Amino acid sequence: MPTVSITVNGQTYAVPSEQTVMQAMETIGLHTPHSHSCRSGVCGACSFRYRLNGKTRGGLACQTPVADGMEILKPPSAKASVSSTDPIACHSCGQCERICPQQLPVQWIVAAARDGALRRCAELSFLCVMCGLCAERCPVGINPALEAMRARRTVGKSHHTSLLADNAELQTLVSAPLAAVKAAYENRDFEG
Amino acid sequence: MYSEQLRRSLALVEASRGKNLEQQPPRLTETERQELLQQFHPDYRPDAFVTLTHGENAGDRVPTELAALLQGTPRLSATAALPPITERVDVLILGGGGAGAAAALEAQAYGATVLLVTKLRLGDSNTVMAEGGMQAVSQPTDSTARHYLDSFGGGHFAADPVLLGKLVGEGPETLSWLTSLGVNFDRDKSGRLLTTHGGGTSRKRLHAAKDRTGAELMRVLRDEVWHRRIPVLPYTAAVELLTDRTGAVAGAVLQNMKTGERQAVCAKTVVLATGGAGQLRCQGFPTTNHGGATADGLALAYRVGAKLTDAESLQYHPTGIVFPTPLLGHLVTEKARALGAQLIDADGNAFVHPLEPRDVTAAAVIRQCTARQNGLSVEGHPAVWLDTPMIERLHGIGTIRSRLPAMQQQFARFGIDIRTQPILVYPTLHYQNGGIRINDRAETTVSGLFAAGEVTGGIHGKNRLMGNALLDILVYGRTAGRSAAAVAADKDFAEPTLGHLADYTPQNSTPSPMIFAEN
Ligand SMILES: Cc1cc2nc3c(=O)[nH]c(=O)nc-3n(C[C@H](O)[C@H](O)[C@H](O)COP(=O)(O)OP(=O)(O)OC[C@H]3O[C@@H](n4cnc5c(N)ncnc54)[C@H](O)[C@@H]3O)c2cc1C
Ligand code: SF4
Ligand code: SF4
Ligand code: FES
Repeated sequence: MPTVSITVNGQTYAVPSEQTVMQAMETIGLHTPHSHSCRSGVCGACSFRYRLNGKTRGGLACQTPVADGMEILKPPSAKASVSSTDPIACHSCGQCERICPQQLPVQWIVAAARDGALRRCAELSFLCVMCGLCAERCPVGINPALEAMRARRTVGKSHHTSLLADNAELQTLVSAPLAAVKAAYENRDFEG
Repeated sequence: MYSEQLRRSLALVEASRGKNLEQQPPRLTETERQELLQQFHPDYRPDAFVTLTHGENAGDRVPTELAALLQGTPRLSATAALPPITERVDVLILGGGGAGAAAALEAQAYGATVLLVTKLRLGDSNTVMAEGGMQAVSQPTDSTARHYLDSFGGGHFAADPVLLGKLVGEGPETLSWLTSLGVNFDRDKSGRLLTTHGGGTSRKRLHAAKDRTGAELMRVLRDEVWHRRIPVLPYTAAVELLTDRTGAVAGAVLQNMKTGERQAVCAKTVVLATGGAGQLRCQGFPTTNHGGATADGLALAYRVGAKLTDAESLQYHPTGIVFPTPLLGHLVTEKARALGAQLIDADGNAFVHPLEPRDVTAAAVIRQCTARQNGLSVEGHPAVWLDTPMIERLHGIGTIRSRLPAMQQQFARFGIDIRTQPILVYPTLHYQNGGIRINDRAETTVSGLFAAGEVTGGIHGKNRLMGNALLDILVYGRTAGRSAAAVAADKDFAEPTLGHLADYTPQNSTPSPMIFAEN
């Protein structure tokens, strides 16, 4: 099986080229069970930082194939920071955006939060997995994921309307004999 | 990257695409369906089930892997000293998915002191992985009675009518609760809720947040738990429940996932919200579930005498990913087949109508790979093709990008363009239909013990409709929180013990609970 070499904690390992970073960590015995959950790129538990071709990037270990010469700077793990500096402090350095494993326009997300453009902020940040990599990098302590969360929740609340159920017919069905319920089931009409 | 066998088969799939698009296999008759299920569905394989010999469900047949756990060896012995008691709370919630978070919010709102304990981080769960959506009545043409009929029939009339009635009856109010917390469901330009059909619905009542419904829901609930300053203990697994002298549940023993250290928590009531069982990987099937879905709650509850219901009934999703191997077992959404992608065997032939129910489709794939020997093999895993390029042939170029963007990106990361290449799939273990028996107050059969979410049974009968699980975890999660808080309000702390283990005899050496899947 073809291999590539990756570096973790200053040590170089040969790992199968078809593996993800998460599998490679398991292969070399550096994996801890609590640094993953979904293995499908949604929970953000396995975020890691690496250097490749002179650039520092962030990734989700379960979704990132290994590459020759990859240097793992921060092994898969996630830390959720629950505080954030006011986004007014952002000086557009772009660090957050470069590290985002979801390739989100994080700088713009922060700018939209700062400017009160909440709808835009919510839209741009929908695919955020709240992995915490951006907050870790921000030199002034902004947590873009929390700013985006706030925006999305505000937008969501702005649409809120109360729904009330009329459960009279339901109550009749719940206590009806099985044959009657079966007949009603067979006779349903379908919305196209 | 494909073997010679796969490349040859791929050429056949491409050559037959035109023919397959023109002529779909016929729909099966009800008798043919039953025959197919009996012969090939994993639930009907007698050698994969054993009869429980001990406990409340003695005499019931359950999957071998589950039986091993239910009658396995506890991680603590009855004679061991209790670890130090570190906390006393009114309501102890075990599990940090949607059901646990909803229970915590509600219990606290009803005045209880709460501690939420979860194996990984709050939100690392099956909830966050749900893609399709949540069912709830929101449209004038729909009614909770219709939702009841769709769900009751879909579950082969085996659901508990009272539990199902509560589920659908509280749908609208639950949807409102979510929007009041700021969950963004899909809406049209004027802000009206968008609804779609799910398998077996007679009205459009599936509410989605693009193809990331569970993630949107979970992050809002988590944010609310943080805002309300509800104490959360992450990276901590419950390994045994504690009982008082009367056998009522009085707390739990917890184990730190990183250090292995143990502590005891004394609680007036306990809510089990530990989720599903996919990682048991019954009969060797892979799973769509997250790493912590190891049925811990079932084992813990069974040992203190809780009754289970429909524990033999599991849901296998017909299309789990086989290649690329890092994604083994993960879900290919039903939407792909709904959009016209067909299942194709090694010779390039379509073999099942694309709109057969989940269990029938799964059985058909298994038959193709076993009895008919017309499947493929990828690194030892059986597979058939799902011909995704058909989608663009049917609905035009660009359909995949707009309707299945997350799926397209997922495969593209591994060099597969699903717009031009079919993918390899096989059934995968998806959902546990049964579980701990509860009543409409989310009480189990054991005093002091409440349960909610995928760990429970009876609500969905023998088959769950898409979108009813997300509703279930919220309706019953909130109910469990409220009931547990109410009971705790009239109760004093009891002396927690491992007394129930004194009359427990392990039937095998399987460590129980499992805690985490070995990959
Ligand atoms: C890929 C996928 C797609 C799905 N799509 C849909 C959909 O579109 N619509 C729908 O309605 N349903 C869907 N489902 C089903 C639905 O998501 C789940 O059934 C539901 O979210 C379960 O919620 P829960 O809170 O009961 O369990 P979970 O969300 O799994 O949460 C359980 C929690 O308990 C923790 N835990 C487990 N054991 C212990 C222990 N011993 N101690 C402490 N904590 C523990 C776990 O770590 C986890 O955090 C899908 C499921 C999957 C896997
Ligand atoms: S938390 Fe930050 S880095 Fe992570 S996905 Fe969200 S925006 Fe990107
Ligand atoms: S890292 Fe911080 S300061 Fe830099 S662009 Fe991002 S939010 Fe602004
Ligand atoms: S394990 Fe969930 S994103 Fe990688």
